[in-house]
Amino acid sequence: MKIVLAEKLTAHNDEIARSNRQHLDSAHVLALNFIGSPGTGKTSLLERTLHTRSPHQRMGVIEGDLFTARDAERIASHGIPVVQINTRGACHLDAAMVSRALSGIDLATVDLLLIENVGNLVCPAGCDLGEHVRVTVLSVTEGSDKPAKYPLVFCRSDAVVLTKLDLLDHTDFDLDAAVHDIHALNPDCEVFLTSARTGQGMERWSQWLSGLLR
Amino acid sequence: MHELRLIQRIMTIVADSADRQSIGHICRIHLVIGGLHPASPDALRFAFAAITPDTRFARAELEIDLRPVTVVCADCNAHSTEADAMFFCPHCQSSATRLLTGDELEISWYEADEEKCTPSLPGGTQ
Repeated sequence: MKIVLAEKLTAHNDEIARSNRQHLDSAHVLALNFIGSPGTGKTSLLERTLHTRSPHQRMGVIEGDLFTARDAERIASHGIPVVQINTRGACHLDAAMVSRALSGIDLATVDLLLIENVGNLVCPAGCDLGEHVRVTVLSVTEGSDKPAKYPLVFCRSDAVVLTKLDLLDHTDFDLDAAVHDIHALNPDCEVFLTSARTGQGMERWSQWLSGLLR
Repeated sequence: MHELRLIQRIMTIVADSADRQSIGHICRIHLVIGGLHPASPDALRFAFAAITPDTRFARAELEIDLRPVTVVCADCNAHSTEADAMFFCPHCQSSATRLLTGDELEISWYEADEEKCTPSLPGGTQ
């Protein structure tokens, strides 16, 4: 006897993600999912984003890491509500983890929720958390071939933030080639050239975030 | 990637469906994986073999249907099946291409047939 299922393996997660999105929508919160390799500068980008935000932007953060609360401690030092998720070995966040974390944040005090995924350019790409906007973070020290080598995450992003631009002259990163490949994979993707250390590009990035809230 | 978790998910989905149909043992599961999906067929088979003994899946075969990547060009409308076409259309060189298939991961169907799946025990014992 053959039983036809035609069921995506992500179907169960997608259902929880939809419920997360409805929950966020009803609280008028816009959520962003930040994906990138370990060490690409996701937490530094978030810290700089918190630092340069306009006073009327109320932000909250969910931090995803295998172990430790170090990132949450960095974010909390900015006086921002933050919840740390420890996945204890799991290589990406999923919608159920985010659903539990949402109960630890007073959404009435937040307009923009920044979710930092576990450092990984592969597995998080296939997992909807219930976010509204997906941002891939790529540093110039990782090499300009990464969009071509890891196409799925770039295909499924609304924006790509290139980080550590202050180090560009010390690397062989081909900026034109990287931006070309990102746009070839995803013509509608916004690309930001930033440095959390010098503040380069942060104004345009912050304006784009403000635009999402309008 | 996390193939063991994917296999656990597959077992849960099939077991839920089998319970609803009052089916005991499973003898075949048919998966579809797109050429761009990061799940490795070898790692999936390894994980399946590692965790299915002593379960209703113990004698089940995992069939994996690898689907090609297909890309369509927005300028000339040509369809291509090479991953490189995600960057340049091989017909008109345009970079305005879009992925149509290649990132799937789904269970198409499973088969439960006591007669078909029982006799394959080693040594002919049943």
